[in-house]
Amino acid sequence: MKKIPHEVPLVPLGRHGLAPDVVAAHQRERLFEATVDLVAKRGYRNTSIDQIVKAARVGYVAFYNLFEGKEDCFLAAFDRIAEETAEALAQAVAEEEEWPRQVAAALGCLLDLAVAEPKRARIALVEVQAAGPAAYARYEEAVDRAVPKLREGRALSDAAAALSDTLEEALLGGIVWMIHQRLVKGELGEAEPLLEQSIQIALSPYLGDEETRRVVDAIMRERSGRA
Amino acid sequence: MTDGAARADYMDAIVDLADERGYEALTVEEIALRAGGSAADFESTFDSKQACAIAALEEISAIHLAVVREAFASEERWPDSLRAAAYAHVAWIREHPRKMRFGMLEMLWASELTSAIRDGLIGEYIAMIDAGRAVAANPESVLPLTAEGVIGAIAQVMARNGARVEEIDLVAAVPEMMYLAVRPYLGEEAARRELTIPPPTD
Repeated sequence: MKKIPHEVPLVPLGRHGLAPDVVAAHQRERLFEATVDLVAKRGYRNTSIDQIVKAARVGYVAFYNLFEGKEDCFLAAFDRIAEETAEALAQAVAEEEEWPRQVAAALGCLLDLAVAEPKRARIALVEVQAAGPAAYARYEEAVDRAVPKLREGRALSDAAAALSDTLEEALLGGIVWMIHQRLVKGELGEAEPLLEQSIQIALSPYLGDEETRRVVDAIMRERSGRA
Repeated sequence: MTDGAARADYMDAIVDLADERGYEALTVEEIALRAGGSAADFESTFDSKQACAIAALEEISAIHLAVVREAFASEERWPDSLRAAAYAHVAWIREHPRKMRFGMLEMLWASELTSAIRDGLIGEYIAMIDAGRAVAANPESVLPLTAEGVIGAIAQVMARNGARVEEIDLVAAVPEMMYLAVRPYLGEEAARRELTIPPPTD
């Protein structure tokens, strides 16, 4: 996953000879960092454009050249976090061969990212749900990206194949909800406890309890060995 | 009538108008007009639009919870009690779709206080689901956050279908919700049995 620098340098003031697109990219970067920082701390509704532009050290004209308003700026930040998270999850999945381990790797990656980058996690899972209907629709789209991978589990079980089409949405909803609640309460200290529960929720309808337990135990042992 | 609508009229008006136009867009004047009162009277009843919304949400939550709790208590055994609560839950939603949307969708992004009210309600449902721990063959094998995961799954399905609750058959979704809730506590066989139990006839 591409790591974004937390300190984005300002472009030089005055005549600097930088191309307009370079300047705009710098401004966009600083606005992204400021939006993530402020919205994660203050909440979407309590964050103003004024606060964002001041924290980013960007003028109003530059802000409105890049975004239509606060919602547009927030949605851009959400889209970027969602895209980068999707890339990281895809990479984690690609490193495993078997479906249960792919699912577990994706969940481990998601939780590790949430623990390492709690402000971004708060934007992507909490504030996005408080930022109005357009943001909520983007959030649902982002969660839905994981549905096809989870649905592959139906090939492993005739019983699971017979369950309703909304099973995967529901299972993902349950997992995201647990992370959401920990983020809201500021209790997402480490990934392990939630990971065990999340893998169990995701795999057990497809693998059954016994096989799921075996997979969960093996993965948790491996993670603990790596740590 | 130009003045002095009842408190309940203002709360009904904000729920109906929020459903029609979205909460954010509403003004005190139009809420007052819909309720048959005036802006001045509204302001002598509630400090703000948000105070009215919170009062409405508190009342909706309390009434809904009372209905669900009564159904849960009507059966002695879990999961029968949980199933009765689930059917009472969807029956109430079908009867009051606007109130459901107000609570689950419009108020989702209103304030931290409304989130706290919603969380309190969800905490009650979590307790109803986690009552399954008492009848589980092996309660130690049920992970601590099981009920929270189940309620998240159900909330996801409800939030997604909230906008078209009048068109879809929520009653038909209950067996699947019960499958998800029963499985971690009583196992696959008991959970699958839930998929075959028909809804109550009354």
